[in-house]
Amino acid sequence: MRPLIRFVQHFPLLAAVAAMIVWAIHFLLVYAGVGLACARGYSTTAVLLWLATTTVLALLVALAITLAGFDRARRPETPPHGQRRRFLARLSALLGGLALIAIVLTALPMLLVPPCR
Amino acid sequence: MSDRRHPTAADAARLHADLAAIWANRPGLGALSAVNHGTIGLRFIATGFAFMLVGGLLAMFIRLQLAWPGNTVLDPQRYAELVTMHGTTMMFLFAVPIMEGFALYLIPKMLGARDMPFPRLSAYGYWCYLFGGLLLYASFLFDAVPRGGWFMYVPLSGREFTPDISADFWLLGVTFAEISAVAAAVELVVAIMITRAPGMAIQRMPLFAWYILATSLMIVFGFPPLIVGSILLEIERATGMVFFDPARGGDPLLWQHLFWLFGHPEVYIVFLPAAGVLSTLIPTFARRPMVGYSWVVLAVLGMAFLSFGLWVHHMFTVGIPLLSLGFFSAASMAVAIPTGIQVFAWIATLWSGRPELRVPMLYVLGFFFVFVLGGLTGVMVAFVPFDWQVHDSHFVVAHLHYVLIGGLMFPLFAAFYYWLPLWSGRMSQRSTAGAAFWLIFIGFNLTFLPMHLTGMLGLPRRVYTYSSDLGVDVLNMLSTVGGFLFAFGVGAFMLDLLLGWRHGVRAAQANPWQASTLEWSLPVPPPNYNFAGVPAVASRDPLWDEPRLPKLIAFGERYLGIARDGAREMLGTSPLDGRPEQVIRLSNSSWWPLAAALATAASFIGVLGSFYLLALLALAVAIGCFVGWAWSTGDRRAPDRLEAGGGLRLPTQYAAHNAPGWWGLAVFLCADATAFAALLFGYVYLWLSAEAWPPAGWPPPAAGPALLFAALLVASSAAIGLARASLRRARLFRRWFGAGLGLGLLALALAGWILLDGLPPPTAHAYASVSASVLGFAWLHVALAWLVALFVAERHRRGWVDAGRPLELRVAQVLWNYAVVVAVLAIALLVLFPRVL
Repeated sequence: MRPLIRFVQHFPLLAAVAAMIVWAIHFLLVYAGVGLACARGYSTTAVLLWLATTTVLALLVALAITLAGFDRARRPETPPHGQRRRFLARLSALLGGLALIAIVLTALPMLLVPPCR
Repeated sequence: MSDRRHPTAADAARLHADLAAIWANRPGLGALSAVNHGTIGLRFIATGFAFMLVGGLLAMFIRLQLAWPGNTVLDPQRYAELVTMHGTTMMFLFAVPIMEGFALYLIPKMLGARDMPFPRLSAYGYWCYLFGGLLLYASFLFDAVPRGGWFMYVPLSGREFTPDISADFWLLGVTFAEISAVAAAVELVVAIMITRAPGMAIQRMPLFAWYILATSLMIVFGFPPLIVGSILLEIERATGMVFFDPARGGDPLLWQHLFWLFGHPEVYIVFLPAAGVLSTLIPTFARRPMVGYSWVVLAVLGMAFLSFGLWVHHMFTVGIPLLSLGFFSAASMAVAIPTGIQVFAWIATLWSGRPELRVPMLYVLGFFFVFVLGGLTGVMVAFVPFDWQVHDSHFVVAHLHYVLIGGLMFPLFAAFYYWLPLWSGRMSQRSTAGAAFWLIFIGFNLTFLPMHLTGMLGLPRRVYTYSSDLGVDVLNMLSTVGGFLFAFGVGAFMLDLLLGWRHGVRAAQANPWQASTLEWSLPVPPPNYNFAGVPAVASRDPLWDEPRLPKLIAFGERYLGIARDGAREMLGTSPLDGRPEQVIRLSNSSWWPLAAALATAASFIGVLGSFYLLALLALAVAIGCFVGWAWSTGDRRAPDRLEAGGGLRLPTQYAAHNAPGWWGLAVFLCADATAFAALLFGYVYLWLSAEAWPPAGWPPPAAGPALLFAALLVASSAAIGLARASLRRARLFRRWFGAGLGLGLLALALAGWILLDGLPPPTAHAYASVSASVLGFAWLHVALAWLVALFVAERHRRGWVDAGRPLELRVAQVLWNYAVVVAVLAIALLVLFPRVL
């Protein structure tokens, strides 16, 4: 986990949008998963399990990113790049909030509509 | 200069004269060789506007035909052609290019830069756009006008139902225009990342730059699926290979997915730059900084990401399972959140500022009314059951015109009025501008408001006439009258703009709107080089916080107030913090872009007319032009470091870490990787709906040759890497580099053999077609990387590349490794997928 975080922090802009990338990956897994399952005739339980697992994982990662962003944004600005770091941390937190909402909204249909109909 | 620390007015005048001479376009026809961003940007804008008028004319014919039932102005085929061309023109030849033009013109000025980082690429992009549009319209001359709708669904646009070359005109013309868009997008990303003014850290960028950055990245990731789809359709039509024909394992829905994967981000690509204009105008007219800068950036990036998750909402009625539709329905509603945040930020800025109703603000207010209505109907159609009622009806026509005209055209017209004084020094009058505005506003609403009703009453899209029984006669007549009113309004707008340009009130001062962004620090009209001195920036609103800036800039402060060697120079800065890092030397006027575009056009025409020999020859000429173009970069006599002013000596781009060429390659590879992903998506999609994969009787590709292919490529990568490590020892470098080239050539030969011999005949089944396409894609990329590597080998031999200036080698190596990864993935897919799944 640590080396991954260090790698991402090397690209601060990427780190700032990390939560939206998590949303995108979740969306892809969810849509592709249902598509595959329906084409291959997997059971409803399997589909719901897949959806629930990916959603929970995505929410946890997005939440971690959001909280890390808020935490970083609260630290005092230290020159020479404090303003920029604070801005990007704040952006990361805000995008994290949006990603959390979007992940929840995306997954909501699984509570309302049975798969493969 | 006499005394660097106290330049006199005479020094400044000499600096301006010297710079003007270096940056001047060639006179007369030589202007066709111009590459500077101002000229190219204006060309994009003018051409885009012309296409808008043509598209509008087509719309007038459509409205005429629909004015009453049973009308015979256009026969059914002609009607289909005009509807197709109207949509295609507006979306591909007007909406995206005109905002690209504004971006090309304004971004360097707003960022404090002298030009775009790849001037010849901008020029090439313009010519590709122009030639693509002309190619598309040439279809009228050959009575082969595309008529399959602006989204050209298969099977209608396949060979069986469109046997003539009308669909090919569309596919090739649009692909040509898309190349232009991707080129501009790559360049804009690089410009925004590494050519901002010193001190303009990323959180101090003008909001417009954030919008253009997001839009450009969306183009990079959003256009390739359509490019891939178009190429696949063209291949299917030309060779009989199959991707979309279900009889031989294809799937027509694959086209829809590829099209809309592009199509939905496309409408945000159209909207975001216009929203960026609004985020620039509103703070200016509210006379205060934007409320919630971070929130607006959140909104922009949020819209950019979420818009990639909406595409199936254009396919709600094709039979996809409900749960899958639910994801897209949810995402389509979710995107309203960042859109709304942005709108609330605008309202808050106006509310807490001291707004004044100047001419551009008329169109801003018009935007609020029209776009919000369009957004609301958008949320309505995001609900699957409602969409099932109104899909393919005029309700959608109403929705899309409200968001596109509200979201793009109104801000665009505002932008024309707003930046007119920058370009001409004169301003339009409220009275005449107001008259034009009301004609447009009333005309537009009269045209499209009734369509919400006619759609819900059952009037389908793209029908050339309708029955009186539907009860929509009067509403259609209203729409037609409104359409003419709207057209008069646009004419009045053009007249008003022309009058304003020529005879308008002279702006009393520079920066007549009292705006805060850097373009208003320039003389009127701005010179080709923009800034005599590149300023240092310390805030988000530089002209509000540092009123001395225009004077400093005019006197060559603080950086690069130097004209030397006849070279066009600009400053490169670090991507996040804007620290000066390099002096970038740019190309002067050049004929290479036009030549390359002409050769590319000839190649496309060859494919279109099935003159394949011509196509190949023209392709060879195009490659020759690119080689000549690339060869003319660099200067063996240029020093390693250059005086940059402000006490700095900086490396040139050949030695810099964040070199434009490296960044350009990185962004381009993102687009290319997306294309590869789209192709792989096609492979998996076709597998999903196939009964057997491979179809009965065919073995999967042999593992042996595939393994050898992968091994050769990995070895070649290692050899190139070793060559780079031994750059200081020329002999050793040449040996390793040569080994890499040799291994690559062997791999290419082997892949060619696998393509021709190791796969079933490509026209037999979609499995064979898509497998051949995947491998063909890989082969082309390895071949391209090989050619680039050969180029760099020769450059090294002649002393253009060495340990101190490794840029070209870096580029060649990254491209080589990328091609190897693509090829290994491709062959692994072909060999493992059929065996494992």
